[in-house]
Amino acid sequence: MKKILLVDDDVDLVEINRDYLLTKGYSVVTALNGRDGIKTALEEKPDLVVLDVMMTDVGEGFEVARALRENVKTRSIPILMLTGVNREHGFNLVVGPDETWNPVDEFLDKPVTHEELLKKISQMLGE
Amino acid sequence: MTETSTKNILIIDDERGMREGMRRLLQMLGYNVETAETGSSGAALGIAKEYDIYFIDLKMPDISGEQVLLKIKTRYPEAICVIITAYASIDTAVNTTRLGAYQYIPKPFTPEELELLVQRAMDKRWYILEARRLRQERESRLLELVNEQSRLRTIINALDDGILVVNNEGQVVLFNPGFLKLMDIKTEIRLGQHILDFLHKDLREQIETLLVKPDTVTAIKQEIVVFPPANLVVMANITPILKKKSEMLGIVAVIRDITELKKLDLLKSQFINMAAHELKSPLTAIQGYLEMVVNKTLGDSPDTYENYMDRSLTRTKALVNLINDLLNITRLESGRVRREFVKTSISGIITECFKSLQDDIHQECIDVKLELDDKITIQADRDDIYRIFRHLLENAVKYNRKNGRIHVRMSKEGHYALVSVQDTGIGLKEDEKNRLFEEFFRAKNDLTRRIAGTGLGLTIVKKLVDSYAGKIQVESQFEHGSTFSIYLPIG
Repeated sequence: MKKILLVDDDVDLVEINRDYLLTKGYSVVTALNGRDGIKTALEEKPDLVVLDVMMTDVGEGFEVARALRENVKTRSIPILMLTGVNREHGFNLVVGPDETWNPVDEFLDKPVTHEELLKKISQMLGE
Repeated sequence: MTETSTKNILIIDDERGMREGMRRLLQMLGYNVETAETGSSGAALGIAKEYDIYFIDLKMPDISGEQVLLKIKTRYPEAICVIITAYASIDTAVNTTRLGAYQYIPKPFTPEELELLVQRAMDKRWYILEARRLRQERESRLLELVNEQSRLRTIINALDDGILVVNNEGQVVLFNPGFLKLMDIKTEIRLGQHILDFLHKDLREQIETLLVKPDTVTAIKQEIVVFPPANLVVMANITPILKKKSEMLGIVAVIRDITELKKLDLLKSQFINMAAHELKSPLTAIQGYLEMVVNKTLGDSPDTYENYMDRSLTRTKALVNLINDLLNITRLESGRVRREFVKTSISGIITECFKSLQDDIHQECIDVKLELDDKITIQADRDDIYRIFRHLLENAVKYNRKNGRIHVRMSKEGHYALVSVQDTGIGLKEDEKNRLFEEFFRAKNDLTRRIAGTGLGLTIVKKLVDSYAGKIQVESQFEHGSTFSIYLPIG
């Protein structure tokens, strides 16, 4: 059973996606902030991280992605980032060392339907 | 300039007959004539002022005519001197023309010969004077031009905008201090230096574009980020300087500091992006819950679905609040708010707010203590004051703990009405206090997680209080509670 880590500061979104993914046969672990997200990723060794961009603390999601990429133990875990305002709208949130630096594998623009989420996850897991 | 109608002639001759004969004749012709009987007195007179024509006898007992000629020509290089000579001395006389004499006239001569000579000499004199006048005029114009240029220079140097002028080969012709400052050029620039040597790439490229094809491009406006991201941003207006609409003489670039505008721009788009994000989060949650319910994702599980619906409703309400708050902020910022200033009782408004919060207060068993003063009134728009206290008291309830307390006190502090709202809630950490009034800022921890809020309430409170020239202060201890103090001017 593939294990998915959900990191989002919105409790409802964590709950919904957890409930949904559980019904699709995934094992799910959750974190409600960036710090816990990194900790859980190290402890639980998930197969995939679904990470919210978490705008209220601008760029917290990117910080998490960056920390995961910089750690040997979590480096190879694929990351799917959910964004409220996608980059096509001209918003550049990247907090990396330069503009081209991108610690994330895939983006999905909110709101995301369950089908979209499931499709993207299984695609990223190579299922 | 001695431009008089009567022309002055000086005759220097030791021979009295000759002297007086010439004087009579020339006076008859209308000239003003003076005479000298020695070379030295003649030279002295001739130097004292400039005559139109000098007649100088070549042979005089004291000093020679040549010496007199030299003295006069030294003083007045353009003076017209005619040498009077005897036939015997004609070679010497010819020689004097090399020393600057205009002409020589051999003795004896007829009155007609003299008259003709004087007329010709006077013509020559006229040309000399005219040339001199034109020369002086030109010189004074040049001086004026130089003054004009220096005035223009002063004006250009005083401009805050930066100015750079280059010729059609891309060499610097003119620049002002504003230009150096706005383009952050610290090296010394010489006139005639090529722009390649020092100019910011973006500006240089645009100037070069114009230099290469002046016919197709008439002017360029280019934003240039000198210090990213928005510490120094300038707008460059680059225009060719054309002569008769075809030949290009060069290019002028006017640089304007637009940093402040860019900063505002950035803030505005940040706000819009934050707002979009904040609007999408509840929508995503609602959509997610509804999908689960509609698709019966969890099979038969009525309790869970009911919980989902409750959550959806909560988030929907929060969404409506958020939109209202956003509209309020926009309204406040637009400055086009119609306000009705009336005598307003703060205690009345606070009582009213508590009434509308009654259900939540009961549910959480919060003990409310009010120390209100009916006598304190302010001149204000009732709706504004209601909004201020509604947000504050709602926060005091929302972020309180079960069985907590709320204590509202009112007093008069100088020219201000002071209202403090104390709660026994979650409180704030030190860094959170500083960000409290920021748009969309919400303290995030396990205690606040389940509490709905827009992150705009206190932003609105602060904007409203500021608009009344009031003041808001916060004291807080994390996990123990907060006290908000509002000062509003008494009117």
